[in-house]
Amino acid sequence: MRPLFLTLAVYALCLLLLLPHLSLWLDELLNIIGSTKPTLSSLIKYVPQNSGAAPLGYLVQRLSFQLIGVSEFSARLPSVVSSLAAAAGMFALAQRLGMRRPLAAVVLFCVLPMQWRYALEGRPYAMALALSIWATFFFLQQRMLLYALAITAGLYTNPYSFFLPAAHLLWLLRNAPRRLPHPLLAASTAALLFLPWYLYARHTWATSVPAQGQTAPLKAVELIARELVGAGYIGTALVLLLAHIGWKRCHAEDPARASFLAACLLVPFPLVLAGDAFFHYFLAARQFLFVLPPLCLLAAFGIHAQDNHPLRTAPGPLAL
Amino acid sequence: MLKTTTLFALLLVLSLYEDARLFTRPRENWRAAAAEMTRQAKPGTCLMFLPADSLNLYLVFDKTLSAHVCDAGSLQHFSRIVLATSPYLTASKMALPSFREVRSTGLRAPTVTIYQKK
Repeated sequence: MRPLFLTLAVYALCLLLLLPHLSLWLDELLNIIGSTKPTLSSLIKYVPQNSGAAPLGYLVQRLSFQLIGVSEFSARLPSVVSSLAAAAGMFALAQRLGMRRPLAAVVLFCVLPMQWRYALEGRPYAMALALSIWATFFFLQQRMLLYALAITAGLYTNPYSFFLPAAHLLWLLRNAPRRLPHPLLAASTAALLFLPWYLYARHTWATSVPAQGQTAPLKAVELIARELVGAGYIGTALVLLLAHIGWKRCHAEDPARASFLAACLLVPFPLVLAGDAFFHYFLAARQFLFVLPPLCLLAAFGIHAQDNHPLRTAPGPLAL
Repeated sequence: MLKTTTLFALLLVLSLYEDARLFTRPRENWRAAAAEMTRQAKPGTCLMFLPADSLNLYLVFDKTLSAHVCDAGSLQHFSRIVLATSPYLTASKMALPSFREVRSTGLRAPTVTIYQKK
């Protein structure tokens, strides 16, 4: 555990030192305007004016402002804390999936530019990402109450975070349908708990969709290829190549683990596109943020491909 | 054939390079624009914001700015206009027939332009 704490400490130090050095941009200011509304009811009225937005991230940022005052630092502090929680979650997930050197997945996750950017931004994406990672961990641990709570909190932070639990359910449906009822109940409960917000916000969401309109399919492919991990075409190619090697390695050792990670990586893509089509929203790379954890895990499995030692077998429900 | 550890190391280096670039790329600086508007807010000066509702973004940094805002109908009472323009506007010029542009501050985005009565 010591290397993990050391890695997290160095990562936290970097984030905290760099946090105030970036000037706030438009979307961060729009978030701050919401979080600093004089009353909770005015905050709740404001949030749906940003299409697809949900209130939890605003409430956490508001708490940060109440604790240490309004500044760039306090606006972004929830994202830093979330990113650290996400990194710790990546370690737990990598261990749970039987990775021999889980720190590789954590380090890759921390430095990936797409994750790094949102760890330093006063918007709730890092928080939603952390919640989706812990939801995945609770799913594998079969801690259904925590699973439902993490999904609910994720939905109330960014509704697209639900696409990762959707991947869990689809994977179970295909690989272990007998185990489906409890996770399905947990995810359905979370979706039901989110329903009041959806019904409240959907009309305002619809009127607040930016004028850009939908993205053409070819442009979407180009955008994903360029911006998936935030490191351009070469970065995307490298991470996908490593993930492919990792998937082959995983598949040879434990097909269930390989298919689980592949489902978490692939299922959100069509769901994001379908979500955008449904809400007439434009495609943005951040909508694919939730595929970064499985991508990092598979890529980290990839670097173990040349190990002579066999992978540990994942215990519990994944060893189907 | 490249070793996977080499590929992984390449990916880490490329990622760290992109992480560092986040701090070197030009960025919007609404705080600097708000500070410039505050500096320019003097008696006889009208502060204007394009689009008008972008004022809310500057108020995050200085709540007193709204006291110096005027509308197009009251321009004749002022000798100077200071206009802050959002970088998200496609048409960023405003027709101010009885004023001439004196200077635009060095701010990249948003821009702050000062007009003097002709």
